[in-house]
Amino acid sequence: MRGIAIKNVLLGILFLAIVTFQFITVPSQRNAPPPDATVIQLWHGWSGEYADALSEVIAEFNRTHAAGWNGPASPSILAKSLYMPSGAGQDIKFFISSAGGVPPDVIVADGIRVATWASLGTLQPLDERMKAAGIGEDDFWEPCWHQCRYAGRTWALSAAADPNFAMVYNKHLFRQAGLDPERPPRTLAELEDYCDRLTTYRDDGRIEVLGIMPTYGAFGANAVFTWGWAFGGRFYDDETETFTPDHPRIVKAMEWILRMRDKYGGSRNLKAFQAGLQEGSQHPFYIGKFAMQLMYIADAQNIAKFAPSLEYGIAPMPGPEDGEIGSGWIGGWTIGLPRGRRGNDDAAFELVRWMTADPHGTAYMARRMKLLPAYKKSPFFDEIAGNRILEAYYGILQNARHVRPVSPASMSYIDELNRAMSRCMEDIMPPREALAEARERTQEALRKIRERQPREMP
Amino acid sequence: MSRTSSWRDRLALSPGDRQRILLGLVFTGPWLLGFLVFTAYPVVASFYYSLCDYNVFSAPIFNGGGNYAELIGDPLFIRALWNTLYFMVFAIPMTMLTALVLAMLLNLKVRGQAVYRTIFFLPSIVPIVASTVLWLWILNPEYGVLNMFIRPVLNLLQDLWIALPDGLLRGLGLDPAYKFPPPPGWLADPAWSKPGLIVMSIWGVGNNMILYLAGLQEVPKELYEAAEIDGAGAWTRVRHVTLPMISPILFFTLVMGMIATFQYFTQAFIMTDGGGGPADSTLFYALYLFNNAFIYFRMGYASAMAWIMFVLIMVCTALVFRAARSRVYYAGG
Repeated sequence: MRGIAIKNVLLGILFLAIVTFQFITVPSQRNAPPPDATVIQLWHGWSGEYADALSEVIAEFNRTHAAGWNGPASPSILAKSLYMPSGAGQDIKFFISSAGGVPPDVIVADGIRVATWASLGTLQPLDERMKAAGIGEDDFWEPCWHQCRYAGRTWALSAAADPNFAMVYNKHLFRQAGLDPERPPRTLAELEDYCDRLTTYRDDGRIEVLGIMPTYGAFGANAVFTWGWAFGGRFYDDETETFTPDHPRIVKAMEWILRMRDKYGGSRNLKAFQAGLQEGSQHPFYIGKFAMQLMYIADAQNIAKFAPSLEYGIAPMPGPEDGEIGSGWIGGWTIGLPRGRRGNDDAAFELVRWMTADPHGTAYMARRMKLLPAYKKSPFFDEIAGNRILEAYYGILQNARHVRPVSPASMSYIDELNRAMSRCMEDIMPPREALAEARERTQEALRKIRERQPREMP
Repeated sequence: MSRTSSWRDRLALSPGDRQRILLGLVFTGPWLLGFLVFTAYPVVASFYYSLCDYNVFSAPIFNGGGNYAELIGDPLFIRALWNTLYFMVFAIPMTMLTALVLAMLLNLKVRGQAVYRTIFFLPSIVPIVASTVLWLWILNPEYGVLNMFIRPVLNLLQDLWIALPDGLLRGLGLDPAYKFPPPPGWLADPAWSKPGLIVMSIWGVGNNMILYLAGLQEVPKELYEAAEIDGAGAWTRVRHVTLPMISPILFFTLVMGMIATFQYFTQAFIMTDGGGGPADSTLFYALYLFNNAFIYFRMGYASAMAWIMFVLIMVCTALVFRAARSRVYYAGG
């Protein structure tokens, strides 16, 4: 008797579960796409407000790609976006999905990853599709184009040119220090002089306001790239696949960074200062902790939102007189088609094209996501007159000559440069030695990759 | 022929037996399948891959002991091993001692005993990621709670130093002009990052504490009474009654602690964004393994590291077992 009772109870629970499940799933079926729509999935690494902005971009894509968007017979495309934390997490999820044969239809990648991903065979070359769509080299800013090219083919298209860096400065603090707020420093000597005058200390000797921290804004490896190029350094030779992080000018840049560190109380004092800093609305520049700072385009555009009363100027990056004044390099996001996806490639490429090389798409995306298109012909560039932030970054974009090395060993390079920076900042090794070790280790990593992957891809 | 038949005879099963075996297999089947696919196969495959150059996307290329040879010459591997051993040597004894002292205190018959027990166990319930992010703030050199306590102490010492007569300090061979250092930079300072993580691990001793507490309650009262009658003081009772009686639990937590230290990963990964910084001071074994596998996609190399970890854990455990053989008391054993 008892056994039967328990059985009945279990059956009852099962029944209830099925009924409940039905109710849970019904509403989502209402939003189901029209049966003939091609559904494509995009993976990206944008979070917070940028993720919200991306949803708007995707909604606009879907709106403009309803049935009949490309001739009466064309079915609608329904794009869906999925957030994958950027960095290692993104690599892992993308690679596992690729290895398992179920990658997303479209993937957003940090530009530095394209060569690595391509060399591992996880991306499709886009050249033929681009030819058919009439897209080519001339449509993009040169560095943006360059970082998508590997082994003679194009593996992704740049959706965002990230011109690094403009220097923002706090006019109020300039005035307080007796400096002309309309005349930001141009040369390195001027920068140091301004920095001396702008830095103030508390009674106990801790830093109150810092003139500039060369390793903030551009962090770790990016600081090495930024100042290394400003000093006239060369990081990589494409022809011979040689990494040169211990180029004499880069060593000099690193020595300068360390000199600046020691000037303001050394590593410990700076770290204590840095430990109190936060991002977002409490960004140290917004709250007047930095008088000057190298800044990403998105952070600069957020000044208006988080610190509307801040009086600031924006200028090209200072540099040594025998190096580059107003030096710039391009990073940014690229979009590609993973290999191994079946069937939806045409629709997927349409999304790539729309986000990277379509007049309406690129302008819409740039407006929402606070970035500059890599697509030279985007009408967005006609909209920026009068916006001094965008104008400043547009200036950098037009003049930027550098892009981080495009090599299957780029990820190792970034890692080793981070390590070298950390070792120098901790006085574990002098710059020349630390950078030489970065060269050896990266070159060795490339040698290992080349052992099994020839330079020319099949 | 006769052999086969005798084999059959021995395995002769009644229909009932057969049905029971079948039923048993049906019930254990899902687990068996999961074990074979998700545990047994990866273990075997990882050993094979450890002898190969393998990046997940192309077929593995056999290279013999190449990965193992390379590991021996890899300074970061040595560094990761050193960091892990450092952590083990300090964190395990400190967490065990803290847990034991707490367990003894919480074993006292006082009012609100249950409340105290809950409070000290609470940190162990907090998910590891959440507690790590919390500790990022506690260990913040400028605004962290920990340094908020340390800073006034250092200031007080400094004031005392200044107040003491110079002659006295000199007489003791001390420098009257000595300046006390600022509080530790914790995770921002390579010299303090591991101690910072060790302090954090002490916060999570709740699990060990509960085990010790259970052990303490199992110690027969008669032993204490007998010891007391023989004139044993409090320390002697702890030393000669309590510790031997809970030695199996201490031993168990020691071995588990060692294994857990070799696998120490989440906290370091979150606190350093996976980089093991500053200056590789928190590059622990498992973190370096992970980076090789999933950042550089050197699966063969990472597999070799995993197998070396396995051997190291085996060796360490064997050594501990050997050392503990005469020191662990198993009642009824």
